[in-house]
Amino acid sequence: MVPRNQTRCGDMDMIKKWAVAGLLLLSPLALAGCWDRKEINDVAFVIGSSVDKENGMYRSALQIALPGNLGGAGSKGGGGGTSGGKSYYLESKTGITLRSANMEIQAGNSRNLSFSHRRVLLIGEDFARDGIAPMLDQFARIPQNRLSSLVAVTSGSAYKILDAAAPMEQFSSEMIRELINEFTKRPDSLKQLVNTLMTDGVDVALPYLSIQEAVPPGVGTSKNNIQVTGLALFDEDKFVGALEGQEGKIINLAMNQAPSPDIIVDGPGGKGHISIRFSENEAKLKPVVRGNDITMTIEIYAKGAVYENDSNSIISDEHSLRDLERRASEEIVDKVQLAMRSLQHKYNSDILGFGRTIYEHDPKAWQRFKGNWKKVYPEVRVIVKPELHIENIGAVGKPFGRKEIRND
Amino acid sequence: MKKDGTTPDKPRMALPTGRALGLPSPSLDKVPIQKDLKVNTEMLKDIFDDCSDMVYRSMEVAPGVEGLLVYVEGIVFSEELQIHMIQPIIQGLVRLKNEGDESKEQDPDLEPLENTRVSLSQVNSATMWGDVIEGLMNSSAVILVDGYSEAHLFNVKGGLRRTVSEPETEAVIRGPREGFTEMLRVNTALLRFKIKSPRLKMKSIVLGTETKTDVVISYIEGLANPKMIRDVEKRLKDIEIDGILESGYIEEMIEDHPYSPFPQLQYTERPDTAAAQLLEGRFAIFTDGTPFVLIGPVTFFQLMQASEDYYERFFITNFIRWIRYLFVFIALFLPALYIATTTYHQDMLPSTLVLSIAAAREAIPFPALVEALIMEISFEALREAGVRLPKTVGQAVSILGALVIGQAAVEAGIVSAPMVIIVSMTGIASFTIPRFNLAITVRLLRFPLMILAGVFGLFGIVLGTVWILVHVTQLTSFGVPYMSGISPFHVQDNKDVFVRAPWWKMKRRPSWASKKDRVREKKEINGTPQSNKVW
Repeated sequence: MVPRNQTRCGDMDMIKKWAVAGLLLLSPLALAGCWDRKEINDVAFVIGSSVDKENGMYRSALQIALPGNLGGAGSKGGGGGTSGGKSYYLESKTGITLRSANMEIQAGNSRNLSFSHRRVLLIGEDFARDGIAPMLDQFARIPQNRLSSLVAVTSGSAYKILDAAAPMEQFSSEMIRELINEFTKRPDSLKQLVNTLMTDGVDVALPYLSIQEAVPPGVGTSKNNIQVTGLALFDEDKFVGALEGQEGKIINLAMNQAPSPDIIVDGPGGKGHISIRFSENEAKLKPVVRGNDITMTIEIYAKGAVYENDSNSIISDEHSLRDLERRASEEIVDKVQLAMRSLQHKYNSDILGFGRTIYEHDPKAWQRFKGNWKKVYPEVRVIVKPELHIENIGAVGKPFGRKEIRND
Repeated sequence: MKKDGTTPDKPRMALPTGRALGLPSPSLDKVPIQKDLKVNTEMLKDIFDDCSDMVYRSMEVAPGVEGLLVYVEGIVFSEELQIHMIQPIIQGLVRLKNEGDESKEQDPDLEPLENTRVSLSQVNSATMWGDVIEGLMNSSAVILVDGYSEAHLFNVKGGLRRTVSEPETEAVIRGPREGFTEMLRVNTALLRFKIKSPRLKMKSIVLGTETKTDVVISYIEGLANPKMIRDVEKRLKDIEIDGILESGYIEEMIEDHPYSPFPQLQYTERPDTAAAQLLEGRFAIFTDGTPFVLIGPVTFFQLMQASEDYYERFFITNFIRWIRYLFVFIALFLPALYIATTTYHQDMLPSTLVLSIAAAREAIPFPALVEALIMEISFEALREAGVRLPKTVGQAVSILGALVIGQAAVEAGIVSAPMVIIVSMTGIASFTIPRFNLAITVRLLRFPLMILAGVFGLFGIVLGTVWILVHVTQLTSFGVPYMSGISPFHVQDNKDVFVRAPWWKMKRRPSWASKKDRVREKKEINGTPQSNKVW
């Protein structure tokens, strides 16, 4: 072959250049390498974890996925299917810190624990009562511990909920994650939780989980499932109580966190019930500060449709619709006022962020309340102003399947 | 018949014979043909000793004048030879004999032979043996006449060659169906049919000391950069090799960066592709004996274009072009990314995906890298076997292949199902690259990337990518940067890089074409009705 001058000239220079470039490129290779390799089947994926208190120690329970029992092709023969068909393996140990408890679990595990796929972090209510701030550090310190895990407080011990049956999903963690997603518009991840903790004038509220009977007692084998039953309220980082049932749901609406709440209103004349689903809703806080007198207006704007009417009255005409809207508004005002009373007086937990709203609207005024906000908060006057629009009553005008129909 | 009085042996003794020298032609260039036919016959038989395809036919060209017709069987058009040469000579001889023209007999002029009797168009005469041999090898029939030291060469190129058929390597849905053949002149004609301009030049060069392969550099004068054409000619002329059997020989010897895995010349079987490239100011190198025509200079993006891109409407073309770019990325990176994420960065994958991969990999005995290499190499082997095997056995390969890269391998617990999907995806992806030489490069580069991913994770992939990018941006093809269009960036060129602008928008030729004549379309015409009164 004929060497061509134009490409061959300056061979030495080129070699030098390449050698230098090569060395520079090679040097960072020492930083990484196959010694960091972690084959996917040498990793134990923690998909959910819980924290409880036990004799002054941390009890950590980890829900570890068992890929061998997940039913993947070719996985029939392999895997460490230890827990008889369950797709996860739950292990719990105690330690003086959360990390040490987890390391205790690691000590008994053949695979490397990986927390990067943790879906939920459950906090037992006893543990939460003593404050959750001390355990949070390790989540942020190691980036592998995802801050996007969702957080919830459980009634009773958290590890019991982790081990509860979740027949629809492969893991109870996955089920809890879906439940929380359904319960709130913007679910609280670890990151948001810390954010709220650090913000003045607002307290943390987390979903409150408990185990509920799924079938009436005595019917076949008893079945339990996990449910979001309310809101866990915090004062600073300490759990102070849960707002359960209708109160929890309505406060969720007032917090602008309810995806599409159902409101049940008594039928006209007090007979029967009408349920309205507000698929579009928004709640806003409007503070008015006069001296030391604070009035907080909660404006709730919602659009909805009638989903059920078990009374025998027609609701399709303009007049009865307006009437329905009015009664639904009254219902919301009553419920929110009731819930606010317990928030302000019983728990003294500012989960709606009244303080933050005042700070946003009137930073100077906030400086006055900042120091003793917890004392001022119960005295805040709350006005609820709902603006409801029922736009749709469904496919039937008259109550379906009724002989006598009231029209008033 | 020894009119010049020399003995028949003398020239034989004086001249080195073909056999003795090994390379007959150069040494015989300057050796003159003798007058004595017997001497000449001996000479020829000596040069073409053991060449059973040589045909020697003694014939009387004029009454009493002996002649010898020599040709190589098979490479000449024998019918033509029969009708236009042998028949007229014999008939003429009969006529001459009947006339009994004595003067003709005594002074048989050869002039009438080629002018009046042989009705062939390409006639040459030669006085040196070198020319005679070259002529014979180039499908000429040679007539030697006793008493004359001049040979007459009649070009009767022929013999059985493939006819023009549909190109198999570059199929299109819409577009011409004809493809180049193994015959150079057919190929140049196919191009000439497309570009009917005297500016279409075809410079001829003969390469290969043994094969004497005709090579033609074709370009359009005024569109191609004249400097580049001179450079190409020089590079071609510098080639000294015994034989050129395929354009690949030439490609490797004239490319700018012989050590680059990236192809720096395009090859095509399609006359329309060649014509389109010439119109963009490129050159084409035709090589006799192969349907593959080399085209240069090329850019990376040009190799990502199929001829159909320009025949189909631009919406479709753009969509398909983007799919192609996406799949080049997949073909190059997918296995590497899979290895890196599953062995180092499990936290990067969505939780459900990581769990299903983990479930599938649960019983697999190999690390992901080994698994991937096993599968990718078996895939390449399968592909290679499919190309080489006779078509009748091909079916067996596809059945076995489906077992190896498929369910059976998964069920045996040797490879995981996700890996089968990854390998199949990569396989399909690499087939979407329109130019096979680029596709093979991408396949090749996948392996170092996979190893880098297996050893260093994503960091390794980044390193490999940087290396490829650095390499590709400094590559040139006949002085044109490989990444032309984006590096160096040129707005006009970008009408045909990531998008294919409609034809009425591509008004200029690419930036590397000759600077003088860049305008392609004088006016933008896009069918907007000029007058509403038409209907």
